[in-house]
Amino acid sequence: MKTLAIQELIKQLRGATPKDLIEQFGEGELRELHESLASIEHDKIDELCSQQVASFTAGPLYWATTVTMTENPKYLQQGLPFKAHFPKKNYFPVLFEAFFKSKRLFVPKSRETLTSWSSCIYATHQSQWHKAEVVVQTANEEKAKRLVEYCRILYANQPDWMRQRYPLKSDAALSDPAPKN
Amino acid sequence: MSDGRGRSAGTRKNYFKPGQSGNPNGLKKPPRAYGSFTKALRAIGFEADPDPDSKGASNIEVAARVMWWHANHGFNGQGSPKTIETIADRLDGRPTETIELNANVTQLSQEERAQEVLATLERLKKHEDSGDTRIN
Repeated sequence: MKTLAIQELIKQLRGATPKDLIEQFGEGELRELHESLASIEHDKIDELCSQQVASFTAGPLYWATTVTMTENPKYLQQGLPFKAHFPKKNYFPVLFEAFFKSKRLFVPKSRETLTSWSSCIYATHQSQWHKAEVVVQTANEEKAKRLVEYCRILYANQPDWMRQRYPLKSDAALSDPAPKN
Repeated sequence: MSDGRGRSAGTRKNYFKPGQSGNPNGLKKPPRAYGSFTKALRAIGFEADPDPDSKGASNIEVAARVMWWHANHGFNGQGSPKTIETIADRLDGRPTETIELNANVTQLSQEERAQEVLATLERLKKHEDSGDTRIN
């Protein structure tokens, strides 16, 4: 239904300029149209993100490469922006396919392959859209804290509207556990 | 004998008379030399400390010296960081605090809104045209 309405609207407004729209719609109507279209677009993006597929056009990789952003602490040395969408490397769909299909997965990895980030993308995606509880085991506590921070970054760098759709219950994951006696 | 309102003759004798307010035998108010407590504090601050050791220094000056001494030598000679902080705040002012505020306040003009509508339509058209191009 929405698709038909959008197609009709696109047909009607083909070639229209902002001036045409201002003449055609009153201030309130234009605001309403804008809000309705934004809501339709958000629904569409949300639906694409929620999918359980290993693809750059839907699912966690779409979310990471198009919607949210990662942060690169080596951005100065690498001449890259500090915040950027996750890169579209051709081995990511293969890795995510394995994430989806494997109950237990061992990934031979090396530095700079972004496997830690990939794990966090998968984990955060599963938590946000599928209420999953994901356990990522790491070699030590420092590394565990870093990965939790990756998940926090992925959540925080989403657009406002998406964070509002999936509010955090708490942001206390990085707090230290109570000291042992 | 009661006056019909349950009050005895003795009570009636001590009762407030018409036109009389307050207790005529009560303590007299001291004259208002300073007007208010704050004014009194300020005025007395400039008076000389009666302690002969102060050598005529004002109460304010003595208080300032006590504060400095407490800051550097109080608490058994260890000094008091809290007092140092209070002095620093007085002299330099409190450091500016940064409050992070995340608010989404967008006031678009008609022109900008119209542009946004067309841009959103264009993106939605691309979505419609692209179809399902998933890898699996």
